[in-house]
Amino acid sequence: MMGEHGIQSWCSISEGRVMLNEQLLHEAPSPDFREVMRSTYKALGIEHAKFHKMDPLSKLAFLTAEVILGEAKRAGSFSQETALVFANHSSCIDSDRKYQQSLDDPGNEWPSPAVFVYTLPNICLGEISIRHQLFTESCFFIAKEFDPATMNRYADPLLQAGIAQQVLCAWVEKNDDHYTSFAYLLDRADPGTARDAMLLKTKKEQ
Amino acid sequence: MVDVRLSFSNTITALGADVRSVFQALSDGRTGLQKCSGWERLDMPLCFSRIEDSLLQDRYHAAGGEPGKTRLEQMMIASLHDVIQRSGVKLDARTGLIIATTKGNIDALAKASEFPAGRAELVELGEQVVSHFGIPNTPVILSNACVSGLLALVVAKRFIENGTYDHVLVTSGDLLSEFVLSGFNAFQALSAEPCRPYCAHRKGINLGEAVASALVTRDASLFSDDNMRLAGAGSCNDANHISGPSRTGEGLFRSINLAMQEADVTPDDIQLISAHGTATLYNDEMESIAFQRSGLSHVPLHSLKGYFGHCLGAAGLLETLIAAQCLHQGRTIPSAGFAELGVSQPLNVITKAGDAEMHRFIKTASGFGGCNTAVVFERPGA
Repeated sequence: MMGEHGIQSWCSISEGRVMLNEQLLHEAPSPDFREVMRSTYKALGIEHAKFHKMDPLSKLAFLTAEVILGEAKRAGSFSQETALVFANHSSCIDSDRKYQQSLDDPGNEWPSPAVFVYTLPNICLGEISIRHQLFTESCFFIAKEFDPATMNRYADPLLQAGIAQQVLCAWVEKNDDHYTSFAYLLDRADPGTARDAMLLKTKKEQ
Repeated sequence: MVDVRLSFSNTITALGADVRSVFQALSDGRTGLQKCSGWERLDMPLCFSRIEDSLLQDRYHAAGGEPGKTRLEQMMIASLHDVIQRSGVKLDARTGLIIATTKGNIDALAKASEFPAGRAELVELGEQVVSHFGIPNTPVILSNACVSGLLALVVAKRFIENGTYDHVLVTSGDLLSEFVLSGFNAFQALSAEPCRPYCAHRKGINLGEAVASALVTRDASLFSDDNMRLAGAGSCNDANHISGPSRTGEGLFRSINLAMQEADVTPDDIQLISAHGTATLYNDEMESIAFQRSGLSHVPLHSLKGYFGHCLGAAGLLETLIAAQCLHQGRTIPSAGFAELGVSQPLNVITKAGDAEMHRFIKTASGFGGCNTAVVFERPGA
């Protein structure tokens, strides 16, 4: 099919395990979300003070992007012309609940702007754009389940039109105890060999 | 290149329940903003716009609406119904649906809500709308802060260009809620007086409630008399701050450039800027810099926030529909609340309603997360 682009690399964070291209990059001491975020941040050797202020969804999205874009930087294939196409099921429900609780708490005079700002799912795209200096298109979709076909239908034309050289597509879901992320990097120069078969396989594993 | 048009449309706001009557209200200088002494548990002076309950009930009833829907679902169903009826678009596999919203049914999370908290899920909002119309395709739900309504048109354009759909119905809407009002208040961004975009005396934002919907299509048999060509689009991040506008207007500047490049136009080809203009100090300043860098400082410009307030996810599409009417009716709408320029770069702010022949306008929007979107619209035959 015309206009498909190949997957340069992919990664996931799920059940305490951080995977990069089918290699185990890091395993957290426990699958508890906070522990996974803390230990992954440390294992990746990042210094980004703002990380600690982020809401759970932004942390998950940030680290997922860090794994895959960090690898691209090491390999010399990173492009600042990387667009972000992200999606999930639950939007930023953890921050929505936290903010609503602060509204409902009679002892709380005034809810915090620092919590409110994270009650938008696309904030995580801003965090990633700041970190990697991406002045590119970024889009956050909500879907019932991870659907790479729809993501690719949106990403391919960005590459075809030259709006982006690469597109980072990601499913980043965080709702209470449940978290999972899966990201893959599409490259303009790479013909899309076996892309759909690979995505179908990973979708079943999600 | 596929010729994609913004065709039949509808909006429901404090100023009416269709685009022409809302445009007429603006031409008559009416505003939808009202001053209040509070809202729900917020006990403080506020200024906002809100759809009249009786108007919404009437429109929802006309759409054959069943009981058990939330206010936002009623807004979207009533608005989409009007577009579907007047356009006659078939709701089959070739017709997509995009729902754009920043906070959806967020009021369902409140303890006082008659709906379960699960109704706040945006996926659930999509199912409620789709099941009303029997739309066979899964809706595409877009939540990109305050650029959502405008970005939805860009997404629709791309899905038509790449052959995914022939037609896309877009609906964008957000509620006036305690959740969002209190949040903007926590940012100290709210003005208790009608807002004054770009003015030296501006004190902040007013929030508003609206829904806006449109049919985007490549099928000439479905073009409305007042259709507009989606000539070019750009959407770029500031990569600077998650809640503050860029000091250089970088993302908006890049978005405008991409949109003008794709439309193959120069600043002299554009006769109107329908700007975002929220009337916060930093947003309006950022826009003036981006417009100056883009060579657009001389182009007549308005913000419509002084009529509707900031309608969040609906703002971009609502304001696009009004600008399209400006071009088709040859009338300019002044930027309400403006008295004296209060930004560092020159702007040609429209202060009086008048007649003008206009061929193209550019619509811009910016939002939290550093997102920006710009779209060039062209009047066919111009």
